[in-house]
Amino acid sequence: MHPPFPEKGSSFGLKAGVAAASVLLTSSLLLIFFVSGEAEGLGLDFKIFFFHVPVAWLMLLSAMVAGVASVVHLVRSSPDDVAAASVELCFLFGLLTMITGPIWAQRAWGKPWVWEPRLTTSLVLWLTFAVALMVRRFAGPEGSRISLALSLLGACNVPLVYLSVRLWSGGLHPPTRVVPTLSTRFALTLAASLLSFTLIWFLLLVQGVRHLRLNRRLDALWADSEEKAGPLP
Amino acid sequence: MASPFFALMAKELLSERRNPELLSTMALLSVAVISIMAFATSRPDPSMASSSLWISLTLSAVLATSRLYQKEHETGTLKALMASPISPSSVYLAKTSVLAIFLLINASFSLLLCILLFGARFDQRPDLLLGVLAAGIIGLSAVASLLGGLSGPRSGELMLAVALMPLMVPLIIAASRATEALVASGPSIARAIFWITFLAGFDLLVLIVSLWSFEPLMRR
Repeated sequence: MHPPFPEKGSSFGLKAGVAAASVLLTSSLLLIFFVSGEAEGLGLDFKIFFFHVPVAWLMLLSAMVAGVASVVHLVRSSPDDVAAASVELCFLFGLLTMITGPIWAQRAWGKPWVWEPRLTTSLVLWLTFAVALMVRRFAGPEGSRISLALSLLGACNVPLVYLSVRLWSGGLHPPTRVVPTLSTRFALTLAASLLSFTLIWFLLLVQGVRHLRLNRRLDALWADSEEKAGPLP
Repeated sequence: MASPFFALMAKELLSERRNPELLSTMALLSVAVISIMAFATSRPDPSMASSSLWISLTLSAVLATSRLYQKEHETGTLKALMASPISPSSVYLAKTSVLAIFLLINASFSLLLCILLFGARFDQRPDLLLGVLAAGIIGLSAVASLLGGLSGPRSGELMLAVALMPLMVPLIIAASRATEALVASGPSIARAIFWITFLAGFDLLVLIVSLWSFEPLMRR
């Protein structure tokens, strides 16, 4: 017997999460546009930094979660909902990274795209998860296992993205230890932005997993009803 | 593990010896790709040889993987192998090794084409060149063989090619840079060794992940 449909119980947690995320996001936007000030020589364009860094961090986090969830799924034979939802989020936040990055790069480096290590490894990571999402949707019954393999191998690229600025010299991207050198106002704004985006990411992940579980339950109910109805006359 | 591994490898090699369809198609594909690369530029020069060589090998790997697994999927042999007491790792390693052998044969043919069409000099450090080819081909075969096994008849060849490309990008970059460093007049040995080390790391990682995940993924 399947539990009641739709799923109840977690609606309070969801509402509280959405309220907290709204407060945090509003505070972050106020800090970004009215408190953080301007960076020397970059003007207002610098504000994209407070969006680009969180979405790039969330792309990496999603990839890591997708990889770990794939391992857990293969070891325990549990449903792969967390891996599937993380792949979607990696694609989404990767897309946002690929949009915000060139906007900032155009201002900072004079070109929207430069083939340097951090950008190249990030693009490879995003492409891997874009393909993982595509095969899960369109490659038939085998799509989910190809997607899991891509998630596993894609997650292995995360340390390379992080370390790329140290491994290869000659890159334009700032080093990974740039955050401690920021002024207090910039650091505080970045922290608020990171926190609010991460909370939104977490809510999206929870909702994504819930959506997949409900879908599976709906499929089971559908199969049950077809079984009860018997063969067509 | 060794006996089924060799038996599966021998089966593939014997099948190709009786009807060398795959190797001849791969050779033709290499001729087409390398010629197109030469025709696409007004002045073909040795610097283009490394990228042409690796593009040709990548496309050959996609083609070969698709062919190596297609019949197994169609006839249900792969499912039968999974149900047999043979370790799935042996099946994966046998397919990977056969693919690597075919790609190595294809690479020697492609190198000749690059010498002919681009005037590239591959004789400056043949030992390192062999290292680049071996490391690059092992990586290509390991990735392609994993996804080839996982993709079924319904997911099709196109989906396999699309799924393989992002995973092959780091490998193509590294292999192409290493070959480029060896082909250049006054070869940069340190650069080539850096990229060969990167390729070896990539191969190791892919082989570990593939050997660990092939069985649970195939049994899904």
